Amino acid sequence: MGEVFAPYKWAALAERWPDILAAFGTTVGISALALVIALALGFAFGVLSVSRHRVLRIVTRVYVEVVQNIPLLLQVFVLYAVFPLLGLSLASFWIGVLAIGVYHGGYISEVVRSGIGSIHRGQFEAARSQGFSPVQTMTLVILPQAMRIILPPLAVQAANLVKNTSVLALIAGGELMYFSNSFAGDTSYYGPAYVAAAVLYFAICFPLSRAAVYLEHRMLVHRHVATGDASEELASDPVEVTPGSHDITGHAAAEALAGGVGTMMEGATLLVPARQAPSPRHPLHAWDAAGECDGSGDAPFTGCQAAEIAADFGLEAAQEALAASDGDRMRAWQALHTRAGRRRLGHGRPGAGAGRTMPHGALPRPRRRRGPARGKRGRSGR
Amino acid sequence: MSDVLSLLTWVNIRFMLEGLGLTLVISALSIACSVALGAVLSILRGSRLRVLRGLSMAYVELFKNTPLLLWIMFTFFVAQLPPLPAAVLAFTLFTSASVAEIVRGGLAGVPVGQYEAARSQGFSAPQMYLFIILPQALRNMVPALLSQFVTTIKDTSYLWGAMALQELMGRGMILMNSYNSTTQIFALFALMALMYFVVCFALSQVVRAYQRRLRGDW
Repeated sequence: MGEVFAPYKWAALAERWPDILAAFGTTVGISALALVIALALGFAFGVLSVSRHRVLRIVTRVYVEVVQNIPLLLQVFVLYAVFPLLGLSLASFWIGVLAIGVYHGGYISEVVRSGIGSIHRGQFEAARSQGFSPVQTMTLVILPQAMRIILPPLAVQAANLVKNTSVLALIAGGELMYFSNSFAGDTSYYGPAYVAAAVLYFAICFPLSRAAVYLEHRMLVHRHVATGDASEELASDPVEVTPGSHDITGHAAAEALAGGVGTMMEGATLLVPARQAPSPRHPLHAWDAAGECDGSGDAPFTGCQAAEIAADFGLEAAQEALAASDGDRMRAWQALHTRAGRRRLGHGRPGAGAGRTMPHGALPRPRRRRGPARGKRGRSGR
Repeated sequence: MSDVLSLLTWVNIRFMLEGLGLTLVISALSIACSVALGAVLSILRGSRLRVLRGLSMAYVELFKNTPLLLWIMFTFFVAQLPPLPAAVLAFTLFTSASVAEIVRGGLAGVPVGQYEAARSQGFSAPQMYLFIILPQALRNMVPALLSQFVTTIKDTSYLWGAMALQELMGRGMILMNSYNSTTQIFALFALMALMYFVVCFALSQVVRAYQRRLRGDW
């Protein structure tokens, strides 16, 4: 063993330091570019995978399953063979970026999907009841909350991505692993070549996986603060996959493994048992008695009921507006949906104006939205 | 079309299936060894001795943060083992780090009362783990272990490039040498992809079904 790591071999490796540095740079470059592609694809497909449109869900499912169940190396080889066929000569650098980006895009999409799935369905219903469009709901309400859950496995994914760039050694990718292989092959100084590569890979991946652990920890603490009793349940949850053990972590992973094509709405209640049974001091308990929205009387309060209440208010408002505008549906509609219509109705019939008799907050929001701040205020007021 | 059909002879298919067999054997052996090593590592992780805890953590961090391909090269070229043992050793080293984390998660899922009850009944520490704790933990670990199995199956595709071991990928590449039309080459790629996909997808469906059952129990 001593001979394998003889000092003169190390010296020979040290002489090649500019090449090592270049190879290391290539690895970092491929990783960074591939990560950008993977994040873009991952978030796009992750959001689409909870879409209400069946076709979109199926498309994302197919993408994820194909990418996750075929070896990365095979995908790289196929791309390597496809491009010359299309008359494109792509450097193996870019083939690597593309293949690894697409591959990890599938994994990140699952991470994003399970992150979204772990957000309580009440959040979706509340956002919709406050008049957020689906896109707004996702970008302003759901994703910001889901990020806490998405980030830890995302860091694990980033570390995996860096590790997976090593497959490009087999198509002469010019990155770190390729350099080690060719140096080892040229000189037969295998020991130092691979140890140096191990150290350099470790230098990139270790901070990433520590970040994952830190973020996971922070998420658990945060959740504990938010719900009063979540972390205990989370810690003792047997299906929880611990950080780094797999490509995804936590509850999210368990759900991702189990979920299949199931939609977000189905997954949401199963996913976060801690939130299903909040502590007695949780404000949502006050609503327990009314919890018959989905047919089960003992279900905790969900945004579903909020939506129902809002719908009741809305119906009332609509009926009043209709009465106030003498059965003219068009005018009633304008009174409900436009500020001008409401003013006209109120102005035309003093004392019977829709805008005055109805509580402001209960009115469906006018078409022109003021942005999310108003929705948030309304929600916390309740 | 006919050149694709000329490819799909029983001889060729069998040739590929043998490769798939080797892939599965290597993966299964590696997973079995990894579970043993991973269980030891995660029990050491909970040890009272600081040194043992540190060693276990260092091991996990080392193998979690370096590429598998590197360890395949290492066992083959540096340790100079014959291909098959080198492959199994490399996979075991690499996978056991992940499995250790899975086992740790599984152990954490066993209620503390089970440990206490075992100790109160006079079980020694090894007996306690072997007869009481691990069997219960295993139930919760099965899905994650199977996912790890899928990952390992996919990763065995490195073995042809690294040490010319004729697993599924290798068999496909060998066949590719004797066919030279573009259609045939892509048909071979598709065949390889399909075989990997069928095995991995089936396994991941098992994982899902198992998860669903686990969840249904509660």
